[in-house]
Amino acid sequence: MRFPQKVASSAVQAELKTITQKDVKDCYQCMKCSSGCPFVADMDYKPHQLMLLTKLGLFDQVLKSRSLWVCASCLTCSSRCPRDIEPAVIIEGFRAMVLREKSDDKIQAFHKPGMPRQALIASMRKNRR
Amino acid sequence: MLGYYPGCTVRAQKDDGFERESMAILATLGIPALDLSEWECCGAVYPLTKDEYAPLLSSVRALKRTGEENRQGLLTLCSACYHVLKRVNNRMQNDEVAKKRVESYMGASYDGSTKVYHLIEVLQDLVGLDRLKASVVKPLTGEKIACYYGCLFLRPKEVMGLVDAENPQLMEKIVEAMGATAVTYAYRTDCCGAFHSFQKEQLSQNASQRIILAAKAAGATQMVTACPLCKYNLEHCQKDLALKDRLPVRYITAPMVEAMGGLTALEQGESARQTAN
Repeated sequence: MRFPQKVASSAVQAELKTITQKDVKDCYQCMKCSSGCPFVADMDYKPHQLMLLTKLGLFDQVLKSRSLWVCASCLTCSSRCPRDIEPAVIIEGFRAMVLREKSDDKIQAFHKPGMPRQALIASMRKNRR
Repeated sequence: MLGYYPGCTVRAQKDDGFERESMAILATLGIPALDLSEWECCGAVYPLTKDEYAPLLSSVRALKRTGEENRQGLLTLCSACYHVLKRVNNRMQNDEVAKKRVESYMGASYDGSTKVYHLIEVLQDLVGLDRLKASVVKPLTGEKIACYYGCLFLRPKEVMGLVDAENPQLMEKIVEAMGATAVTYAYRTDCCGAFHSFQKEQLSQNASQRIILAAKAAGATQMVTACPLCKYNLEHCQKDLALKDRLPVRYITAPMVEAMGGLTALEQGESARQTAN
C-alpha cells in the first residue's frame, strides 16, 4: 500500500455507515477477528485487514476482495470484537453495496438433490445468484 | 400451550424424524405444542444490514400470530428459525425505527412480547433437567456424545444468550441426563460452513471436517446437533469415508428418544393418555 491509492468518496463512505450503523475508526487491529475466523485460510484479505482497508477508505480493494464472498456470517468475529465493530456487519455492508448495484446477470437456477432448503434460501439471499 | 413454528427445512425434511421425535418427547413430558394456523419462511438469514426492513416482516407476522392465537410462546426446532425469530423479536423491542417501519408496512402493531423458545430451551426451562432424568428408562451408558451447537444458536451472545457462546453446556447437560457422557472437543463453537455447501462446497467441507476430526480425536461415538443444515454439512463432509469410519451425526432428539424407550413407546403412551382423558 505504498503507492497513492484512490480513496472512496465521502458519499460512498456515508453509504456504508448508513447500511451498517457502525464506525470502523474504532478498530485497533487486535486481530481477534482474524484469529477466530474459520474461513481465514480461504480469504485474500483477512478480516482485520478488511477493517484496516475500510478505515483507510480504500473501498476498491475491499469490494474486489474474494473474502467478501467467503464470509459465512458465522459472527465469531463480531462476538469477539473488543471494540464492538462487528466485522461481519461491515462485510455484509460491502456485500450489500455490490449486490445493490444494478446488474444484467441472470439468476441461475440449479439444484443439488438433498440440500436443505435453509441452504438454498440463505445462499440466494447472501449471493443473489 | 406453545405455538409451534415448523420452518421450511424441518417441515420439508419430515422424513428424517426430527419433528416427529421432538413432538413425541414434548408430549410425553407434558408440554403440548400446536402448529401456528399460518406461517411462512423466516428468511433463513437475519439481515445484518441495518437499513432493510422487509426481511423482518415474515418473522414479525409469526410472532404476532402467536399472541393472537393465545399461545404462551413460539417454539421452533431449527437453529436458523430460532436465530431469526429471536433476533427480529429483540429488534422490535429495542429499535424504535424498525418497529415503526414494520408496523406501518403491516398496518398493525406488534410490541415484541412473544417469547421465542428452542426445543432445548423448553427442555431446560419448562421441563427441567431433573424431570428429564426421571423420564429415562434405558440410560445411554457408554455413549460418548459430542454436542455441536452451530453458530446460529450461539451468536450474537447478547441477543441469543441462552448458553455461553464460548463454552456452551446445555446440550451436554441434556445428554448427561440421558446417561451418556458428553465429550468436550476443539472447534465445537466453530461454523460448519453453513450455506457454502450450496455454491462453494469446498469451504464448508473443510470447516465441517475440522469439527468432525476434533470430535473423533476426543473419542466421540456420535455427534448431536439441533440444526438441519449443520447436520447436513457434518454428514456430507464424511461422504468419501468408508461407512465404518464415519462419525454418526444425529439430531439431539434421536439419543433422547432412545433413552426414553423408543419412538413407538412414546407415541403409544401419548395416545393412551389422550384416550384416558
